[in-house]
Amino acid sequence: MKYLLMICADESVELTPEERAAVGSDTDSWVTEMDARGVRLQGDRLRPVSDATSVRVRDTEVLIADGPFAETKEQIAGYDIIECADLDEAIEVTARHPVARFGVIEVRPFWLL
Amino acid sequence: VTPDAQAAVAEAFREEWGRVVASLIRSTGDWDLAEECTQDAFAEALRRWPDSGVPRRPGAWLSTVARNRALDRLRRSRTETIKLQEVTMLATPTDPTDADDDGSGIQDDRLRLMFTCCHPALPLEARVALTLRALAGLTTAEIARAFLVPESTMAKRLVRAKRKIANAAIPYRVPPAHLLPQRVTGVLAVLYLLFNEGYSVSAGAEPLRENLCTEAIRLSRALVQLMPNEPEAAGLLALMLLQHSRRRARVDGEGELVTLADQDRARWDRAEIAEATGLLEEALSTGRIGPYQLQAAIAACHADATEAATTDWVEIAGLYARLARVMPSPVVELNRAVAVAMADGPAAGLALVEALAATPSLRGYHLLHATRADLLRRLGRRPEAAESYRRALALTGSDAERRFLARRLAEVTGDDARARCERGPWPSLLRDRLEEIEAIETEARVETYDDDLRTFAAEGAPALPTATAEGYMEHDGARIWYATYGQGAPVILLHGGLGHSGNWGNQVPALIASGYRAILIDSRGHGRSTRDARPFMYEQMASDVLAVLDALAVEKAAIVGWSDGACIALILAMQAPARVAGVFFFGCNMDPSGTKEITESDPILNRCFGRHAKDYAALSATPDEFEPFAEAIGLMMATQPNYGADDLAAVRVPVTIVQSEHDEFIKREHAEYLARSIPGADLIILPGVTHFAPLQRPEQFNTIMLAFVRQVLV
Repeated sequence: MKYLLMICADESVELTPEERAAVGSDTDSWVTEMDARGVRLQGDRLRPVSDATSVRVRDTEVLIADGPFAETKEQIAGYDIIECADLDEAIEVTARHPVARFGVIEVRPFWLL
Repeated sequence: VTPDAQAAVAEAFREEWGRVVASLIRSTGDWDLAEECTQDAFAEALRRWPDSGVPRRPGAWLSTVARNRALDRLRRSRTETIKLQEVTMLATPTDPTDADDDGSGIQDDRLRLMFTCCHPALPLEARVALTLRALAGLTTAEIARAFLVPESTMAKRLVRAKRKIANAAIPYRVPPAHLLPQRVTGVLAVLYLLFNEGYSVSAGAEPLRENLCTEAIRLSRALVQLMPNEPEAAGLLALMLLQHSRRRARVDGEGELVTLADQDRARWDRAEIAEATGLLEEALSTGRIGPYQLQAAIAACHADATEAATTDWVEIAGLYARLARVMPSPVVELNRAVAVAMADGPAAGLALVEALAATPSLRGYHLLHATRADLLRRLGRRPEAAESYRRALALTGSDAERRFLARRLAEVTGDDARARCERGPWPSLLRDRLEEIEAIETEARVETYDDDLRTFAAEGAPALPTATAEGYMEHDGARIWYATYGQGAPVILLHGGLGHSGNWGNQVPALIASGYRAILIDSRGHGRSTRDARPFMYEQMASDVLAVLDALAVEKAAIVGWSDGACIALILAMQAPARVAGVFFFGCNMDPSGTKEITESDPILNRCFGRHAKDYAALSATPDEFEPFAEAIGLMMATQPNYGADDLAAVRVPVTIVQSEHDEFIKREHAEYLARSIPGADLIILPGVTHFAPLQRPEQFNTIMLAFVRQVLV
């Protein structure tokens, strides 16, 4: 079963340099471990929403706006695609991601056709 | 069908339903197929058993018939989606007359099913519903009735949960050891919630709700059998049995609640007490003590006392202190306060209660006020006691509790000389209500909150049930839509500005279930009702309501008004007091000074507005005219209503002013002013909600709405 992990965090929360370094190295170990287990298929970090552009087409007109599509406190800061036996395994893998300790991670199953 | 065979099928249904469904779900992975084929197998048993006799192993017989049925259906649909492999998995024994297989693995299936139904990735109310459907075999209609929601809502809930189980791959298995403690707790919480839903109702109410107790006990017994090494499972079963053992004594012949002290202890079910005590002793001997065992131990202290006076309150207070350590919660603290009051005197208990009264989550909790009232009464502080009894009365939803509290209130205010001659030295509510308080877990309410109105924005309120009568009437240049639901004393529900009657989808079923006739009216220009070119006026809308009352030949009705609906109700009460039994005035002003200024865009208001616009397009005879309509309403709201204190002082019908803690539009001072200015009016503040309380926390709203309706419609 394939799941998308949307790694969300509040961008306005300032981490201390030590905290940032810890999250960085903890994420690296998480990636290494999940890659080795064959669970993680791919993933990456995203630039903050200040670099985002939203695109809509209405009546053939392309509407372009600066910023994210939803003004929420937590924003998607990265993603991973994982392959697990079931939701319990996906929860276990997600719960060990360092961002889960201060942000939130949404686990979405893929739409299997 | 002979009565014998029928009884055997009924017995088999209770015992075997969950097993048969569980094993079919394992082999097919298809919940609906499993339920339908199990249903078919029971129908087959009803046809065959009267002639062939009841098989030696009814469960195995039913399993085989259900499996064969599933096999047939899968073979027929094989070309569509089903993999051949699944069909072969099913194709083991096929002859129901020879179905004496040992059934190994079947019990594990039931346990698997419990863990899947109670998986924390499902919403709590879906866990409860799935458990009742899949494991206990209740139909969707029965579950809907038991939880007082429309059947369509319950059906949707079940479909969504099953879909998520499939799409998100929620596993069908007993969790591995490292997940087990947490998951077992989740299963126990669902079972206890089921039990409480059944136990908290008074006698004579929906019998299906009382059945929930027996179902919960049956499922817990199965769980204890399946997980013999889980002391908390045994603790929960013991707790349920101890509470259940008092069921015949806790309500008297007239349906009145009998306090623990006054209960005829000879009517307690000794067999259940003995079973519970045995379970509890064994559980406690493991040394792994948890909240259910502690609560059962407290209930056992009561069961041990041959009369109320010999209850060991010191022991009970100690157990509560322990419980507070493993399960810190204000409700547990309230219980501890009660036990301390019994052990060390009311003053010691009151000190603890006063400290708790500051907890925001307990402010709307009727038992806090009832407890406070009782302690004050025992300390001789009667006016304060009366005040607390009144608050408790306004908050409780159960008839029996209301009557009980009203008797106590009469006693402290001296209104009823007879009430003063209560028997016993401690005619006390609180010690007697321990069992009730224990039974309430703050976390585990089956209430779905929609505080941010996301559900409302996406789906609207739950669909209204089928109307008993529905129609239009021409009045003063408009066509007014109305509908009635159920039978009984009439209650009119008036919606708010820009909305329509469908916004009451959470309230109508609750009124019907409590034996009232709900009457809905779309205000002119709103929903299905039309308008003419004249500007809107609340007085005109009030005259529309009166016209509907005349058309329905309703002499007098209670009116529940929400926002604009509230001032329409109050205006009608001024103009035609003989027709209005009382006004439940929720979230409105009576002059322009009462409203707050909305300065910034608010997501909740935007969601509500969006829903109103969509509904208007779907319902209105002029679907494209939402904007001019909204503008005309805005114009009316800017200057109306405009009634002064003198007008309010002239109101002669019972009024309750209800104000949400976080109302976006109405100032709290204004609500307080209204309650002060209208003779005899009550004021209720709804904690935690905004202007949309009937949608946000329907259970909370319905409780006080029903309490009001009961008060004014004698």
